[in-house]
Amino acid sequence: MISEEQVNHIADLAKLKVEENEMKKYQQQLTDILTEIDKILNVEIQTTEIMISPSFNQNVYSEDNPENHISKEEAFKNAKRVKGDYIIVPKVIE
Amino acid sequence: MRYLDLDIKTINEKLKAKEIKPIDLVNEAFERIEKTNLNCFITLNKENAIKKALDLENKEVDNLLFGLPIAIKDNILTKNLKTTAASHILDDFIPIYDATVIKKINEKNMIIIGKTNMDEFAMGSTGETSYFKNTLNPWNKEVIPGGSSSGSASCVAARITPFSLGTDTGGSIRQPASFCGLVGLKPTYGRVSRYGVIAFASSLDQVGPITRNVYENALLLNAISGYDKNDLTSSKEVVPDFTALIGKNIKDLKIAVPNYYMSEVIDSEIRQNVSKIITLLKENGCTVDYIDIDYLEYAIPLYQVIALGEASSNLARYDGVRYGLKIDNYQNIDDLYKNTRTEGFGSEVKRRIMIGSYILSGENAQNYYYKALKVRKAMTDSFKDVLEKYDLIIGPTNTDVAYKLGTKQDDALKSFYDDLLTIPVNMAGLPALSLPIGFKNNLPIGMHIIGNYFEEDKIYQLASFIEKKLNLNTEPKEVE
Repeated sequence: MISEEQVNHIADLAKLKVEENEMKKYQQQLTDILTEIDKILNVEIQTTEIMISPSFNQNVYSEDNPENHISKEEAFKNAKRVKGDYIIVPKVIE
Repeated sequence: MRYLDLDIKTINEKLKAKEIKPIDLVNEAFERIEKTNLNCFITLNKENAIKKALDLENKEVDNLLFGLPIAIKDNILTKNLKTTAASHILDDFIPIYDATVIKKINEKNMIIIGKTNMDEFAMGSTGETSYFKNTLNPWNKEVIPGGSSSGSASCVAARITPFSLGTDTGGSIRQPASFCGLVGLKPTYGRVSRYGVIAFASSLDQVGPITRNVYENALLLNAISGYDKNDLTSSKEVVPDFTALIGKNIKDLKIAVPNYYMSEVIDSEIRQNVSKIITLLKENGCTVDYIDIDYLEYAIPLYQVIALGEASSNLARYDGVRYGLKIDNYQNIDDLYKNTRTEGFGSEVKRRIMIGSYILSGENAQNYYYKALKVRKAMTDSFKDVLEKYDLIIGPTNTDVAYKLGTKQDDALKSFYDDLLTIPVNMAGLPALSLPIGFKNNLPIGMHIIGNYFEEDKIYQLASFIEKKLNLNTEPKEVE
């Protein structure tokens, strides 16, 4: 079973918090999934090739033509705190 | 009698003859929603649907889909119509543009009735991870409708709308179609644009049609397919008329059955039903051989690495800043992210993005992700080898029929194992369809037909033959 520290570390990577009362549940469930995932490590495989996507497309480029895009008003429509041309967030520098 | 119970060609003739109007169909759909109580929808589009139906009265009936009601899974963006992906984190989100598939639906003058319930961010196989209510299965309100496209399946099964769109990342169209007695197709990766579809795992996601029968499925695929410059993975492959091979002779089709798909992991009654179809196909001139496809037994861990890795990246955008839920209690930016995400995501989604973030972090990326990409390549090559010799691959869609709501809810692996037979198809990017072929305990059994890249027409050819031969009544008894 993975430890409480590991659960907190994993939650931190995903920008989530795990409450005390959920800790046991997450320890168990994450352990179950990670145990299942470990099976992939034991697969014997010859190929060195990989497949990232089933798309047959290669090097898709767009023409360098100006087009109409979404306006600022529209883009801000779903933001909760906006001032003029900016979205307000907490201070990110010390 | 309801007009919506008629087949599409008959409805179309009546619309052309002005015997009925689109508004009659829209009214029927909304009456049926009220009568059935299946929690199929998160948001109804009633006002706009009525307006559109009335506008269409002055237009020429120029295609078979004209004026017909359709339901759209709530992870497909609809301009000015709330789109939540069944998540608290998006429960007030109003899209500012239409997904490409919605534009195409609108070009055909179909009428959007509402946005369907689903598993949160399409993560789940029961409909139960929705932030909203559980979707119910019209065959039996105590069993799951399947997921993640739970509402899209339930609504067509209950004959609310003849058409719906779902999305399929690991089986999310085919599994609920199977559990609700419907035809559901996941197209070839790239066949249908993903532009404007809320991303779960970008290398696996595809939009596809869920319908009452094979012909109507092909019709809807005709409407939504094609290249889109806004989706860099969309294909320029020619879009044929997908109905063209329907009804054509199936003699001489070469069909493969993976041994794994008929092994003991599948319920015996399901296997018996599939075996009957195999006999039927042989009697009608098909060659059917049992074959092996490599690495199928690793589908679940393979999916967990690839789908959850991609999901963790895709869902990083929900940060409480630009759109979606924002929690007001925070000390700094990290707090804002964490509090918003912790409050906004449900437990299935949290589990999945935690695993995804972990397996992509540091050395794990090399160990897990890179290894999984190799297994994916090898499994896909094995599918390709089989499809060089055979036209189609068949088997069951699921290991069993729908099970009771609330079963194994604490089991973190359950929703993955439900997709055991459907996941490999997404990994390879192949097209596949689920078709009802019988019943167990009065619940529908689905058969899986997998085709070669861009050969959806051949899938429909075989599916339509089986559908016609079986001639099953796939309409659930009155659900009111």
